[in-house]
This record gives sequence, C-alpha cells and structure tokens, in this order.
Amino acid sequence: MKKRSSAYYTHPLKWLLPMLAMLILFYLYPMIDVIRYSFTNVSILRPTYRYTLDSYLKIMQDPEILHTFYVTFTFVFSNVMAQLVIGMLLALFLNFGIRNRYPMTIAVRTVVLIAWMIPGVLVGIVWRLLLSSSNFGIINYLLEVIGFKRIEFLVQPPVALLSVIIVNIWRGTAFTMIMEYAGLQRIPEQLYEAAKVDGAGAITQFFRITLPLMKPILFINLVLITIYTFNTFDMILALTGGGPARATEVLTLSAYTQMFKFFSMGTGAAISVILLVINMSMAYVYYRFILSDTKGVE
Amino acid sequence: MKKGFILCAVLLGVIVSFTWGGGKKEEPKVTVPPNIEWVTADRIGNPNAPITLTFAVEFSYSHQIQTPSRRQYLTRRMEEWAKQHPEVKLIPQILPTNQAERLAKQLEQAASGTIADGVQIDGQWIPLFYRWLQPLDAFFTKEEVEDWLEWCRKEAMIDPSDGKLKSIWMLTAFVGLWHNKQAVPNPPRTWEDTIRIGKELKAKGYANGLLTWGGKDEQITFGSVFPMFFGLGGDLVDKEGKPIYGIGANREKLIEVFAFWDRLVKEGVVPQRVIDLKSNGDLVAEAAKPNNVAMFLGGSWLLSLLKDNLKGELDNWNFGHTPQKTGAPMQIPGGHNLGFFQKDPKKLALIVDFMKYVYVGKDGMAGWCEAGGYIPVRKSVFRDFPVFSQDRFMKAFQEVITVGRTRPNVPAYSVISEHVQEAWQNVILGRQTPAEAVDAAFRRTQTQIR
Repeated sequence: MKKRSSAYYTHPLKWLLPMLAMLILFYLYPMIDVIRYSFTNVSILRPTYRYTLDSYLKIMQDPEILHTFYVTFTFVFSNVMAQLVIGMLLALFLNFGIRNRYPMTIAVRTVVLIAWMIPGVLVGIVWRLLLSSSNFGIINYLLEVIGFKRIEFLVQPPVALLSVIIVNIWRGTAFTMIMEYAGLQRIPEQLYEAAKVDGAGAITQFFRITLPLMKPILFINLVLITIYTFNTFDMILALTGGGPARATEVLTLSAYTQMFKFFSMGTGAAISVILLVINMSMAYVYYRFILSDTKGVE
Repeated sequence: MKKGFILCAVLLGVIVSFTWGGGKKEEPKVTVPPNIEWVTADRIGNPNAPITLTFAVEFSYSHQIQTPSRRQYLTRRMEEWAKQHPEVKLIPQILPTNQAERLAKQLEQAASGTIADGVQIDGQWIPLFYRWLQPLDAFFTKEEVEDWLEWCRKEAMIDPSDGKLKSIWMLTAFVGLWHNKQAVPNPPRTWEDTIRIGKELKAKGYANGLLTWGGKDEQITFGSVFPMFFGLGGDLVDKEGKPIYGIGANREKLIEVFAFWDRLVKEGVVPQRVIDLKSNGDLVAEAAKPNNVAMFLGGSWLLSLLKDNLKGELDNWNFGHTPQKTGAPMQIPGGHNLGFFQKDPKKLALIVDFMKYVYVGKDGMAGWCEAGGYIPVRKSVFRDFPVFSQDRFMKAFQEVITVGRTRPNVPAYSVISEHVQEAWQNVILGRQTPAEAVDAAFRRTQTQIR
C-alpha cells in the first residue's frame, strides 16, 4: 500500500492526465486554432481560405489602429492603477474593520462585491441609463432638477472614454479588494506589534511590512486585472458600442467588429493573437519587476 | 411439415399482398391525442404528427412574444393551420437579436445543412443565401409575385443568376421625418427648408431644431446619410460590388451630405448630443418631452411606441419624406424576407404554405402587419384592407415609400456602413471636415476590402 502510494507521489502524471486532457482539448487546441486562423483570410462569407499574412498587414495598415492601441492602453493603465489603489484602500479599511470587530463590515464587503458579480452587459446597460444625455438619463435628470446643466458623458470622445474607465473601475475594484484583503490576512499580527514597539507609524508599517509581504498577491492581482481589463468587451459594447467615433473602441471590440460585422475571422483572430501576446508580455514584465526579489522577502 | 407449409403460404401471401399494391406506400396513419394544446411555446401542431418541420423567426415575430395583439394573431393563425394539417408538427426556433451574430449563425447553419426549413432573413442579406435557398416559383403564381412592390421583387426576391423566385419579402420599414403638425405645418422637403424651419423652431422655444439617431449603428447610415446620398444619385459600390463611394462624383456627393449635417450642427439646429441617441426609446423619450423637439428623423416602426408614449398628443404628429437637397423624394426601404431551405418537395410545400398562411399570404400579411404595426409590401393588402387604405399613418407611409432604393446587397456593405457611420460622427463632433471624414472612411474601407 505504501509502495503504491509513493508511486503516485513520484509519478504524478497519472493524476494530472485528466486535467491535461481537458486543458489540451478546451484551451490549447482552440488557442492553436485561433493562431492558425490568424494566418489565413478565412471569412464566413467564403467557403474556402488560404494561408497569408494579410490579416496582420491589414491591422498594421489600418490608419486608425494606433488610435485603438492608444484607447486600449489608456483604458487598461487607468483601470489597473485605480483598481489597485482603491482596492488596497478598501482592503485596508475592511481588514481594520474586521480586526476591530466593527459592525456591518461583512455587509459592506458583500455590497462592494455585488458590483463585481453583475454581468458586464448589465453593468453597461445600467450605466447607460445613468449617464445618457437623452431624456431618460438619470444623472442628467437629477442635475437638471437641482438646476444644473446636462453633462454629455457619452458624447465628447475624451469624456466618453473617461466615463467608460470610471464604470470599469467601479465594476472591477471589488475583485482587487478581495484579493488584497486575502493577502492582508496572511501577514502575522506580531510583525505590526513589533513595529509599534519600535516606534513605526502607520505609513512606515504599510511601506515596510504590508507592501513587501503583499508582493506575491499583488503580482497575481496585477496579472489578473490586467488580463481582465484588456479583455473587457461586454460592458463597453453595451455602454458605448465603441463610440462616439471609435473613441472607446478597445482591441477586443475591434476583434468583434472584424468577426461579427465584417465577417473577417482571419483579421479578428489576428487581433486576438496580438492581445494574447500583449497579455503574456505584461505578465512577464510584472514578474520581472515584482517577483524577482520576493525570495529575499519571504 | 404441415406447419412449415402453412408458414410458407402465409409469408408468400404477405409478399404477394405487398407487391400487388404496385409498390404503393401507405400514408402513415395520423392520430391526434384528445384535448391537445395545438400551439405551445416549443411546438405547433399535433405532437404525434409524422412530419416535423422547423421555422426560425426573431422573438418579436414569434408566438412567444408577450405583446397581446401579436401573440393573439400568431397563436390563432398557427392553430388554424395546424388543425388543417394534423400530419405536421412545427418546431419554432428564435433567432439571435444581434443582427451580426444572427447572420454569422445563419450562414454557418446554411453551409452545414442545419438551418431551419423556413427562416426569416434580413432582406439586405438574402443574396448571400441564394446558393442554398430553394426556388419557390411552384408556390406563387406570376400574378401573386407581381402583387409585391416593384423594389421588393427587384432587390431580393428573384435571384438574378437564374431568374427564380428565392425569397418572399415579409414587410417593410424605413426612416422618414416625424413632425408635429402644429409646430411644423409644412414639413421641410429640401435641406435649406430644414435648416430654416429648424432655426424657427428653436426661436419659438423648442430645445432642438431636429433630432436623429446618432449612436454608432446602422441607423446612422440607413436613416441619416444614405437616403440623402442616394437622393443625390450617389453609388456606394460598382457593378462588381467594389466600394466607390469615396472617389469621383460619389465622393463629392457624400461630402455634400456631410456638409449639410455639418451646417445643421454649426447653425444650432442639431445638437452634438444626437451622438448619444441610439435606441428607439431615446427618440420617443425626446418626442414625449414638452417643447423639446417638433421634428426628428425616425423609423416608421416607431409608430406603436409613439402611440404608447404620446397618447392623444400623437394626433398632432405625422410622418413625411426625408429632406433631400432638391426636394425630390428618396427613401431606403428595409425589411425582412422569408427563405426556405427544405429540399424535400412535399415538406417544402408544407412549410411554404404555413408561412403564407401566417405571414406572407394576402390575409397573412394583412393580419400580421396589422397585429405588429408593420407596413405591408403587397399592393392588394394596401388596397383591400381598410386598416391600411384608410389609416392616416399608413397612407403617409404609402406615399413616402413610393420611391425607394435599397442598400446594396454586397458583402462590402457592412464595412462601408461602419466606416461611414464613424465618419458622420466625426463631422457631427467637429473632429473632421466633411472632405476629411469621407477620405478617411474610404481609406479604411479600401484597407479592409482588398
């Protein structure tokens, strides 16, 4: 019995085979197929296709592609930064509240999490009802009632992009809060007590104890929210549809337009591959900057 | 031995009786269970029927819709047909709401042979399905086909490659000028009049001179750009379906249309926030607000929504032509067609008969258009049914749609439309001049289609 058990420990492949099969079938194979499609001119409107670099050339020659990259990176960078900072603040408040057994702390955590649990399409629709400058726009209605002028949240391109960023921050911050709250739970209380004895204030404690020990969780959080934000699609589609005049069109929406409006599956797949490369590069960069010196800390 | 002889005789008798019938197949006996519900959410007809057919329509065209008038009409007609055909049961399928996803799915299904027997298809996309659509000439007489409005037959019903009847136009819808008769007794027919009347309305205290759909969507091109572009005689594509809207005379015509919209914004008639008006509800909410707007470009299909929202106030409203540079009318009719993919002639006849009874036969079209608030496309329906020949709005719709030119049925159209929508929004927002916008859009279209 002992021998068999050790065999499983020394040869874990048998345990991993079902998972590997699932990964290959449902993740690796579709991903390879998307990469293959990106090197074709496949279209729903044509029964045949050929292998070509046209899809990538088309993207590079599109006069608006730089604008789409600018919108995508502005959207992602603003979101990641804001979600990290606001999520950390919320996690610290939450941690403080729970350690001091303040009432309603769990209720607050649940309420914040609801924003993250609502499907993206619904978030887009609800915020459209709030921000619209037509007569059913709730915020504009309230502004007019109290004597202010309407604000055209979704009309002027910079304002529309800012609106989309704010809505996504509202939606995504809860995830960061929960991740960072979990990280805070791992830090032993004795470290803070010792720091207090040494005369360290709250800010010193945060930068000398909390932040260094949070690095692994911050890394995972950064990677995940970066990927989530790069892949944001449903919320923007429902809120602005990428408009006005492509002001809020991120790469995922471009892929959608290529595939479902222009029926150009090859170009859509090429945009998806570019997104994949960007996501993997960002994960690597984070790894280099955050985790490379974690061993010493741990 | 004796038993063996009897067995052989019986077998021989069975074989002879089968062959004596001349190979004639007996029709399977149809049994109808007592007290059945003929129309349920997922079945129409006798559950024991030996023949199963499928049909796919969008939710608002299905008997599952909650709007009482639509639901009652569809359920009644479907039940009547099912009772006359107990040998058939029909399985309804609901099409995706998103047009692009719907088309992608329908093309995939048609190519793989899994598409429903009778399917609702956007009229604009019918040519993409010609190779799979079954000819319908056997089910419609020549006189019947000629009963459809001319542009319907010309644009999508008859396959130009073989001259066969391949789809049936169900109904139509188009964009025109909704206007408040008290504030705008003489609706503008020309661009100059539109600007003049728009300014007068603002001077009278209306918040907006003119509104339209400006949210990034097909409604921009379908309602606010291409009717005017076609009115100037512009062409989006050449005979091979290649985009030509950004070159030569076509470029100048599109620039003229954009320049008109640029003037409307700069002279304060149209607000930039039209960019934020996207849905039917957006425009209707604007119309319902007092002293807000007295004329807007909107779809004929808004009638039922306006009835619900404006109530008695709707008596003051009417529908007219989209303003054109010279005033000569031009509209873009849209609408849905029915296509049939069943290859078995007997089953094809049954599904065509069902769809005719419910949607596109003379009585079917009249009933469905009345229930749904749609505009019929058969001349006899307009002529013979008082609900269409005497209704004030239906008369206005008829008058407006006498001159129509549909959007080109080519794969490049969706690319052209998307790029022209963006260009128009850039002009409205003042980010590009009309010429810059047209040139930028055409460059993008050329990059996409090569």
